[in-house]
Order: sequence, then structure tokens, then C-alpha cells
Amino acid sequence: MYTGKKVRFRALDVSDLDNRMQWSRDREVMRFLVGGELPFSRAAEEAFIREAVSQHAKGNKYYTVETLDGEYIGAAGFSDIQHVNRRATIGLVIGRRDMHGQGYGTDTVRLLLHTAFHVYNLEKVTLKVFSNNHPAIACYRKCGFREVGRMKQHRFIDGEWHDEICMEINRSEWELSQEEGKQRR
Amino acid sequence: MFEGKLVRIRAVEQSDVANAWEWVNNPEITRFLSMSGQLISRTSETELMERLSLGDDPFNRVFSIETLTGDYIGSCGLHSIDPINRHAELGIVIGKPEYLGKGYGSDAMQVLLRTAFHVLNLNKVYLMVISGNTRAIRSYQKCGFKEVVRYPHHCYIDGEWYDDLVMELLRLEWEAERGQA
Repeated sequence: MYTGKKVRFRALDVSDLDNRMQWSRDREVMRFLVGGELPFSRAAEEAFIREAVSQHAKGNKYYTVETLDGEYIGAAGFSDIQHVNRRATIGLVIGRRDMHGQGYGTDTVRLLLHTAFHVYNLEKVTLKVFSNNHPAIACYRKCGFREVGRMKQHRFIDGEWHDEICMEINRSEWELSQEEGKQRR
Repeated sequence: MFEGKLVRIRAVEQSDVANAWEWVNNPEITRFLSMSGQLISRTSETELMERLSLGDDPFNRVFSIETLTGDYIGSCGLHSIDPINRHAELGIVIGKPEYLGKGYGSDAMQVLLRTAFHVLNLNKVYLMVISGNTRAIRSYQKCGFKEVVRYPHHCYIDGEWYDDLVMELLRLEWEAERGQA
């Protein structure tokens, strides 16, 4: 189990199904997720989890995010872990909308970065975010991510085209921000 | 429809394995492709060609490129076809070295783009290319592709780090380019 200041990660499990079905029916959460355009069944979600749980060796890692007291919050993980190129892509969702805006997402990102750099020994972390997902973009900037480009008209959401923004952070940038954080305290 | 000035694209046939086999393990050809640094067995290449020849994956359309006289010269395709967002990722390789730098790749690009926009009715085509692949980048620019993302020091190839670029072309931009041509 990986532990941050406000959240901790454990491996995704089939027992997370009920919690995941809660937010997968919440349009306000799903509209910012790849593959979230259309509703899906409980059976489809269970099949996804079983597949994801068995995929751990294939460059993807799926975690369940919970508070330090063990309350379910959402999901996070890595996709496309490339050890030769020493990088991976992160993704996360705070599925519980009543817990948005309280720093859980930021702590989840920081814990993902810690895991990427100090557990997997990677040199770079990338992510993609829809250009209309303003709270997420602000969170990623706060965590030290830089925008490296933008794919135009990449996502059609509720009748409108939006761009997809590509961001990244290097290990050295992350280490510097850790040092600065210590000095401020 | 699927014919250009120098080449045509056609379905992959199982018999293409003999042609593909000549380039899949040639580092001069594969150096800057996603398969860079890998060695491909005859068995896995045969299985790949058998699977691709079925043409039954609506989200990945792969074609063989041949000259108008029917000589196999390479492969191309539209991958991760996204029916809601109406985009796809383009990939192309000219596997026969004697056909490089003579306009065959650019011609195949135009046929593939016409397939993407006028057959599959997509809104955008994007591609990823490694910064060291300058010949490909020039060809993509000639087709109207613009660099929209640059990941610095993203790919480690034969002892060196390269940037990885995303380039893209909207249907309206492509049609405007064609109008001028």
C-alpha cells in the first residue's frame, strides 16, 4: 500500500465494483474521462476490473484511492509504462463528487509521482487532460506539470469540440519542487 | 479511390509475410518506428499477417502499399479509429529501401488521407514521429501536417534520446491544401 498525506493506494479489486458503479453513473464525473461517453452495465464494469487486475504485468497499474481512514474516493493508475524510455502516463478520477475541491486529487497526483519516481525508477511522467477540465488542469500545474502541446478538436463532449492538452514532468523538476516544498515549511 | 499517381493501397494478404519479412528486422527501416529495437520472429510476423488479412477490426484499418505495377513496397494504416471523436492515428512505412526518397511515401500518404477523410469520414488524422526521422517529418509537413505536441527526450534509440512529436491534420486543412495543389 502506498500512503500520501491525505490518500493511500491499494490494488484495484473486484470488491470495488459497487463504489465504481456509483460514479460511473455520474455524468459530471464521466464527461472528463476517455471512454466515458456512453453508459455501461455492471457486468461490463466487472469484466473491465477482472481484465485490469490480470493486466498488472503489461504496462498498466490500477489502484483504488481511499482516505487514510479507508473511505473509498476513486481510482488512479499508470498506463503505458515504458521501462526503456523510463516513463509512464498517469490517470486518475476522484469519483466521489462530494470530495472534490478538498485536495484529494492533488494528493493523489503527488502520490502517483512519488510512486513513479521512487518505486518504478522512471524519469518522466506524462498525462492528457480535456481542455474544459479546468480544476484538473489547475491541479496538474500546481503539482509541477508543464504543457507540451495541445491536440485540436480531439474530444467531442456534450455537443462541443474540446482540445486535449498534453502535459509532462521530469524527475529532476519533481525533485526540485520537493526541495522547495521543504524549504517553505 | 485507393490509387494515387505512383502507388495504390490494398488489403493485407497472408502472402505479404514474405515481403514484410524483408524489412521488419532491418534496423535502417525500423529504427524510428514503434517497433524499434525489437526482433520479430517469422512465426509472429506470419500470425500478424494472417490476423491483418481478415480485416475484421473496425478500429484499425491496415493496408499494404504496392506500386501501380503491383510490387509490394510497404505498409500503412489508420489506428485507434475513434467513431465519436472522429479521429485516427496514421502509421506508414516504406519497407523497400530502393523506393525511399522518390515520392512513393508521399503519394501513399495522400491515398491514405483520402481514405481517412472521404471514405471513413473522419474529422482529423494525427500521427507520432520521432525527431530523428527527418525524412518522414518533411513528408508529413508537405501533406499539411502541423506539429502540435513535442515531448522532449522521450524515446531512447540506439544510445540516444530523441523528442517525440505529435502532428495532426484536420479535414478542412487537408481540403484547403488540395485546393491549392
